Amino acid sequence: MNNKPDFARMKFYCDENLCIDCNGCVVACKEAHEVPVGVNRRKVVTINEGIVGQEISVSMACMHCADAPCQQVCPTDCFYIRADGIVLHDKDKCIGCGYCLFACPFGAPQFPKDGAFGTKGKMDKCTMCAGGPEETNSHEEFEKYGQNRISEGKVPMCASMCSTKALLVGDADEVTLIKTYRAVSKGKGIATEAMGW
Amino acid sequence: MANTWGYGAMTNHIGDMQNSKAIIIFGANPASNHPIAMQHILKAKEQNGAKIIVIDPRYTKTAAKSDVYCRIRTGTDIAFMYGMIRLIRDNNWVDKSFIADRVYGMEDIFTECEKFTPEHVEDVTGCPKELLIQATTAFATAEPGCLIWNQGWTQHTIGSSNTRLGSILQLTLGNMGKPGGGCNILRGHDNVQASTDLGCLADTLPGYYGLSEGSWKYFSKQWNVDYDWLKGRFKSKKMMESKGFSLGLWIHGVLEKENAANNADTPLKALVCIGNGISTITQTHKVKEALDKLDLVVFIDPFVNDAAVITTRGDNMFLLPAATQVETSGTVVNTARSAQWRTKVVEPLYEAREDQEILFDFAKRMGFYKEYVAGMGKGEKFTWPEDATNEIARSLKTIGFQGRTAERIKKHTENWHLFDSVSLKGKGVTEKEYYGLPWPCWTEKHPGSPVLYNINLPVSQGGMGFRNRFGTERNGSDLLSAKGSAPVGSKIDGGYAEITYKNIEELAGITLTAAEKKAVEGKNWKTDDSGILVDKAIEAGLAPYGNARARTIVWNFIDNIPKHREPLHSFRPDLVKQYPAVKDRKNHYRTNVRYESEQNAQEWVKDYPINIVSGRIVEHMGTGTETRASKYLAELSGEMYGEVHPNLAAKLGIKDNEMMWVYGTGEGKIKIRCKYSLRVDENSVFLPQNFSGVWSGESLESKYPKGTAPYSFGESSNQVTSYGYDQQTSCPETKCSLVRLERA
Amino acid sequence: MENTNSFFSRNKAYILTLVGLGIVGFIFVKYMMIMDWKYIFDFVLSMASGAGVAGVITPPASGYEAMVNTAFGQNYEAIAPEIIRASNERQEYIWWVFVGEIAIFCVMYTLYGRKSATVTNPDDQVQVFSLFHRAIIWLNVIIIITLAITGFNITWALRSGGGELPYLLRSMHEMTGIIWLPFWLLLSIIAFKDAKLLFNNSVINKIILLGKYKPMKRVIYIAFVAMGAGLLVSGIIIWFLHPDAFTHGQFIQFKRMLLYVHFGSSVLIMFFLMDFLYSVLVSVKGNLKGLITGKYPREHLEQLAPDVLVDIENIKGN
Repeated sequence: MNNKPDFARMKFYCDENLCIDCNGCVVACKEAHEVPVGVNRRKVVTINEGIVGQEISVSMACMHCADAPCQQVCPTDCFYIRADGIVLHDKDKCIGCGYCLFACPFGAPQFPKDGAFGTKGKMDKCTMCAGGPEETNSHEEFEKYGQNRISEGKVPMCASMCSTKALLVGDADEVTLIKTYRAVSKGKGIATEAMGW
Repeated sequence: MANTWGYGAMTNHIGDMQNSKAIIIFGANPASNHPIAMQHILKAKEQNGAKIIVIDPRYTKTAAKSDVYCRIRTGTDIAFMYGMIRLIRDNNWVDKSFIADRVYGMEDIFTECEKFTPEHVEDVTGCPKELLIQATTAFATAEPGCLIWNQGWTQHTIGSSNTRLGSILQLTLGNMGKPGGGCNILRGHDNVQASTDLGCLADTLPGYYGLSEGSWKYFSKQWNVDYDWLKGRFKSKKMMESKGFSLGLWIHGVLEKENAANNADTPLKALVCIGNGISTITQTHKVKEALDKLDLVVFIDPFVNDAAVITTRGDNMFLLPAATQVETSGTVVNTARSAQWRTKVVEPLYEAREDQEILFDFAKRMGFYKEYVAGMGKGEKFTWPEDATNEIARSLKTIGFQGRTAERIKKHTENWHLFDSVSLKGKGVTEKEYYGLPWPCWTEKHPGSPVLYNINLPVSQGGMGFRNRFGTERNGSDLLSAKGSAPVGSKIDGGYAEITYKNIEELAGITLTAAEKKAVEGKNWKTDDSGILVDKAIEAGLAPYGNARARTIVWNFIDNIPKHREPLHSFRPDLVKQYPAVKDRKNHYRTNVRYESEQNAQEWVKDYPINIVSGRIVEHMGTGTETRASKYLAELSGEMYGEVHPNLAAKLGIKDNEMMWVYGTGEGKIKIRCKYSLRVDENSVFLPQNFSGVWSGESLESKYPKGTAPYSFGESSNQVTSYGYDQQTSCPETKCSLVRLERA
Repeated sequence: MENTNSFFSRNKAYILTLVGLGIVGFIFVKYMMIMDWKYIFDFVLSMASGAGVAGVITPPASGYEAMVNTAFGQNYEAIAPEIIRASNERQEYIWWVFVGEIAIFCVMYTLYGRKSATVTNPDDQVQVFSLFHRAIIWLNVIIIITLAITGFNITWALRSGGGELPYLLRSMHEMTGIIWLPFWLLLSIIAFKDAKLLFNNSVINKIILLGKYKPMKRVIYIAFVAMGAGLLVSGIIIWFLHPDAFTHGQFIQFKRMLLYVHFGSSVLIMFFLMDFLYSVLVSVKGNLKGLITGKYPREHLEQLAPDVLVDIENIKGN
């Protein structure tokens, strides 16, 4: 696989055949970034709960779209998309208007209720553990955006904590390879390491 | 299980499930309770093509990943399994050679299963017969298949029968003793296996040695104390050798005068509780009464034990802060019998003290500290926890702890990355060893036994047959395994009794030297400190504990073979006549326990028409004392609720998210939120068991010392669970209670 | 103007307004919007028949579709991209629309100049606006100016570059919007001059502002009420339905529709309010003073607003 970071394109993928709605990803993210109560950068959506044979769960957060609608609508242009596809934003510019939430198909932008007069505060969303515009790994970056694991070469918190490795994150080609491997090895009688794929 | 084949522990291990071609799950919800173990089940499903079959009264998150789901009424697992066994018998899916070689008493099972036709099973369990057939076919035709259970089976009056019949089911199919098969009990806590291994039970010394005089004498020797001194600590030899009050039944030792007769004519006067669990037994209002009545109550816990706030006693209650697992070092043993080392990461915070420090302090003040630490053999200059670990290894021979020294365990934990999670085999410095040296690990050279009862491996590599624990013959039948059935490389090609000083020479085909003979005089494999018996046995390819048949008949149990009995508070009173509870028991763990009289006291279902299904939710653990003090977990699941089917709720006039009262068969009642859910059927309510801090609608927040209250509170489901205890183990029957729901 | 009595000249204001809105609306809808109008229509109908605000018109045909509905709301393509477009492309056009409107006013000013009354007797003052009326009007003025400034602060934040002050102004927009509700309601009531034509009782006569509506003023009033209602309802619901992190999909589609209503209403109300400002302050001299003191010289009224005097007489007479 191509290991050059210049060509990486970071993606999330959650396999709904493996997601068991354990919320490990949700809590891991909140703990790692000390997100305020009431904001969920990541959430698990379960549909058809309790209906035999139809219940499905999937973990969702910001999908770091290539054509991010949030970035297109932001009136202060506070978003920036890294070369590897991770969509980040600048909380200093954010005015908390909420346009990004209206435009996002996934409901990724979240607003804590700590703005003036109890209105929406600055927008917060999944950063794919890549921090923000502040200096990397600085105290300010952690206070505003949470950990910057990508700069340390670590897997984002949610995927690293996923109990069943339903949630994968990484270069699109790598993730595709894993999913292809899973599909090809279906039913073939192969056993694999724990916490791997 | 111990009564079926010798050891009562998970027979295979967690990663081994990836080798299964079918996984049947009764009374367990690994997706919620063991999310990490669930990955292996899902890998088995995805990569190994395994069929996942879930039998549960509730459509759980695990059931959502299943291929076949069977909804049964709570407490009817035995009927379902006999239905399966009958189909297995009729379709010739029985593993005849396995039974012929290694099982005793199967004919009785095949006789008992006769009346459980698919139609009758449908009547008793409520599961359509097509699904029974589908589930049985899927499980029986796949090879190998493993069976998972946990507290959905043990917490019934017939829990002990449930687990025996599950074991028997696996014997019928020949799924024992092979990778991918086995009985995989996914126990709840990362060290609960060790807590039972080390005898935190009411009916045995550590290592399941029991309470006989011989066992006490053995342990006095291990602990370097005088047997008579030890005996003198008890009121009488009789009491020393009697089973004590169990977790489920202790309250009756406080509250009911009649039980004093079983307890040397005294009620219980004091309680020291280390860790949570007091509020996980049924009838919390009785627990409160008992706590109020005691002379002394001590809780040792890092968080305020939720039992501490339900009591209204004024005096003599103490909370001693204990350290958590990151503030201390030592070994833990997981559900798959592997030992791991835990290293202290931070010194105990605030006023917390490590558990051993607290206990040593007690021993010092009570004047027996010297004797207390004598077992480590270093006087008062011991190194904790290494010397304690080695003392344990040396002493617990029944379960083969001898090889699990502190040094070996540490090496494994430090080299965690060298082990394969599916076979547990190590590489490099841990080559040829299995991760955590799963017991039995007979000697310091032994690699551990990841898959129990596997005769395809030599004993020195972790193989063994079933244990010879119940004698060598019964009613003219041989209880030892048949000719040709023995671990690979065995000197004896067939069954043999457990190794003692008397038979070692004959069985191993050796002659002991005079010194060796003297060393092992009067001993057997469980009591021989020299290790000679075990060493010689393994050299000869013999398992120290013998090579016998598993038995389906337990002659000292009330039910010789597992029998279906309706729960004490049965949803189907018409079936109670056919399947009644056992007669009331006297002196069952020092308590006189009602069975038949409770079941027949009234037609319970008239006043309490709804089944409880109770269980854990993934966000919380145990009674939630620790997890509800985590703000994010409290955010995800902050309130007690009951899952009710919309049709039932419509009949009762309760809207989604409205409050409702739940009335139990005792005097307990709780006020909780009604949550519409399709997971339960129309006759049940699901109650999570992880909440406490609210008492019948009143918040107990003010009872917590300042700054110690958790973020979220809720009613404890056990306020409305019913009286009932397993007929052999006294485990409380939390899984079969009846309640009444009313709009609040 | 000759021929002041033809149907066209009597209803010029209505006709021109409708035609103007019609043409502009047509151009916008046909060429500049990408909204799925059929979906909007079905959505509104389904809400009216009690189906809830999730915007799920067609039931999901598969588990995958059900998941999409729960997580994102159904039919993202129907409304959300339009919002993105409205946010980015067309906010530039609004700027030019206002410039155009001001240009028209400049032309009109050049053509028609500024009307003013010749006042020979400045002491003969008539009470036109009571204290109550003035309070409501001025509070509305302040609030609407605040809303306009803070609202445009949000939309045109590229020019401000974001930051703490725009962030506070945005919060102020939400709070001020909620405060506006009672005042808008009051102004809508007191400015409902046509009520005097429909009913005739003393209470109404006391509450309602004096005078009669000419067609253009009536159009502006209708615009104020309708667009104000649109802004308030959409704004308050958007503010109130603060999405909790888990139920975003339940009403995001509804909120998107409301946001679009909010944008549209805000543009139209600005358009008509600018028209109003021109017609009462620029094209006529002397109106501002009376709005502060409440009194106008009689001659001013005789020449420029005789309907007010007629009204005063009617009221005295009753």
